[in-house]
Amino acid sequence: MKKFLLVLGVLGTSMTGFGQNNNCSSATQVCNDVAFSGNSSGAGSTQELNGSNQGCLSVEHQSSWYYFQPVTSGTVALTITTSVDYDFAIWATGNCNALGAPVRCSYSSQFGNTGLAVSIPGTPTGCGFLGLFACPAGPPGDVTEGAGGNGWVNALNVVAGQTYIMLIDNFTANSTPFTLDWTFSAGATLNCTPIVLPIELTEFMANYKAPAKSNLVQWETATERENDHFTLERSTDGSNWMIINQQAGSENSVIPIEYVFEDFGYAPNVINYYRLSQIDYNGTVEMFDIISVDNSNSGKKIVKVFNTLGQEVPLETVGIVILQYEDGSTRRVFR
Amino acid sequence: MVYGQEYRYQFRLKNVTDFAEAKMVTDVLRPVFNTEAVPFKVFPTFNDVNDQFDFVSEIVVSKEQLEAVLVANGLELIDFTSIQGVQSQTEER
Repeated sequence: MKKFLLVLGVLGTSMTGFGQNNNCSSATQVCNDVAFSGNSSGAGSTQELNGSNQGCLSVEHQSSWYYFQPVTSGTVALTITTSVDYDFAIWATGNCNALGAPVRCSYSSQFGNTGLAVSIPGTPTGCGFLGLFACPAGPPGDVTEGAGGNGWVNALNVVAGQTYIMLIDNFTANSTPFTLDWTFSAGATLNCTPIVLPIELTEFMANYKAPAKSNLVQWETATERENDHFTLERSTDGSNWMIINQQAGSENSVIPIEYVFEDFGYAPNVINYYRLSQIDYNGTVEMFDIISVDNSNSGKKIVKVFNTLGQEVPLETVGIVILQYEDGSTRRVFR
Repeated sequence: MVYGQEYRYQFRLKNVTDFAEAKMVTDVLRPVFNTEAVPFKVFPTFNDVNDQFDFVSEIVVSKEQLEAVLVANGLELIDFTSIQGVQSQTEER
């Protein structure tokens, strides 16, 4: 599985529209410490939480997704101000498709404010002489908490360059909005330039189909973000390329999507090369690896494939290989 | 299930005696008292004073139907009442 990077051209404004970011794939970038309000109408089209990434949470109810990237390391605290039961989780990744375990998580059943804190808000009494005085504020003491938690987990020591994804979920699910206030300390600042997040291309392959006498080109994405369209090009020399197909992308997606193009116009008796590129809404282009189909022996069945050391390898092996056909002839190809 | 009229539900569950424990079973109760089309209309409000769930739903749910869902999730119903045609006495959500 290969990972490719797509440079996002979206610059977050720290604000979110109602129901606009209730999927991770459409998360809003946060790039400064200006307080903002959020809300959500539901869990979105994708329920991203599962056993591998939910941490202390259960499922999404009315979710709002954000991501941020510190440009300098430091400590980040935040307060989600609300009158109802909000939960949240933060993952130290920029990949919606591989969230892993959250680094901070709160599923507290408390109504009211919640968040990351250097010290627990409020001044509890019961300390000092006869318990009549205010207690010194202490840290929450935990990084994750279940329903019995107090709503506060430790502030997060963020690392410059690391992308973080944050889910804020309205468990009460009554569409009551929240306001989020940030507190940066120890030098933490966020990146306001476009963030690089991965778009994952899990497959890009092409094969000659004898019955149809065509080259079938297929590719599959695991995730897409701001994806406008794909462009497929063909070449016979690896230098001169011709656009042979354009397909609309799926904008934002976290589910596998397969694309297919059947090329009947390939050049016969030579090796045909295919190049795939992806163009986002801002015109940013990402080129993917070049693949090839050996049409020089189209119609003849390949019986064995060898690597450059003469060892037999699986038929689908990529790179420089030697193909042996049913008539005993061989051909050295790069694919 | 019958829709179109409100029913007030009051019941208690074994070992559910505070808000934290109530939250852990809320996602089990939600689909019982909501429709798939509007899954979050009714919040199964919990009263910490008497350890009782107390809320209003348009969906008719019998004790047996609720018990079946609860048992499937390892929960036990202690008592159950449903009153037809009452107005919500819970806070508007």
